[in-house]
Amino acid sequence: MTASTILSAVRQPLATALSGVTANVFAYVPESVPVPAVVLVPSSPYLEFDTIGSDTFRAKINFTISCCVTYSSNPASLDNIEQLIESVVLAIPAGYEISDVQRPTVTQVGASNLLVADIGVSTHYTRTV
Amino acid sequence: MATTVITGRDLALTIDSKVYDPQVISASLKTDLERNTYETIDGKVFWALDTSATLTLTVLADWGASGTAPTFSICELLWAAASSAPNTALTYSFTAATGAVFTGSVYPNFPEAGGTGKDAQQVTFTLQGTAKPTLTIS
Repeated sequence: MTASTILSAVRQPLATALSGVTANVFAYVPESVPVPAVVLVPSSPYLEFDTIGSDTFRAKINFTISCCVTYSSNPASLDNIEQLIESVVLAIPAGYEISDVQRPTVTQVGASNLLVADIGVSTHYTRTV
Repeated sequence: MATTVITGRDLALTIDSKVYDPQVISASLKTDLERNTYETIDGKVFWALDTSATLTLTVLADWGASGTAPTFSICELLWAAASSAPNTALTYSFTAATGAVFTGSVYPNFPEAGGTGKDAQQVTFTLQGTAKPTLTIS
């Protein structure tokens, strides 16, 4: 039996759970960002070791879910990102802590401007063999 | 002498022969020695009377996990034991580090339920030991 990985046990299932959201969902940072987009990004600290024992790899994993929409007009873009945030939060499955949503900021990606807001989420992972 | 460092990663805990390390955030086993003090004409005299032990745990709450093999819910184990057999002690094994293992028995208690909106639910409880733990050094 293949050992689990953070990608197979946490990141991909979380991305799959978010697949119902009307946006392009990535379990990793893509080379280019086709908006609207939801991207899982490791947060900092990424891994925290808060349970006892060392029989296997266990960690609390902190992610940022970056919600990205086109930045054109400010009211429309803000409304778009608020709706995207709402749908992402509703789609986050049980077992994930949702900490907060950071203030939306305008970020230049390539030639285009995006409005980006980060949602902090955490969960616990135990490596299984 | 070289400095010895042991950490929380060296800890291991079983209760009722089940491993709960994946749920336990902190664990401490406290053994108390009760002493009486007598004031004599020659000064104070101390006399040991009794020992007692308590096992204090903070765990990630795992209500509802008992059906997910091989997971055993520590919250459900303690609730069931406290409900049906509160005077029957459960055995435990508490490894402080490799080669230093405390064993004994504790009485079950009802775990709390609840938490804050944004954090994982945690439960802290103290279990009364039946007697002084046995320390085995190997």
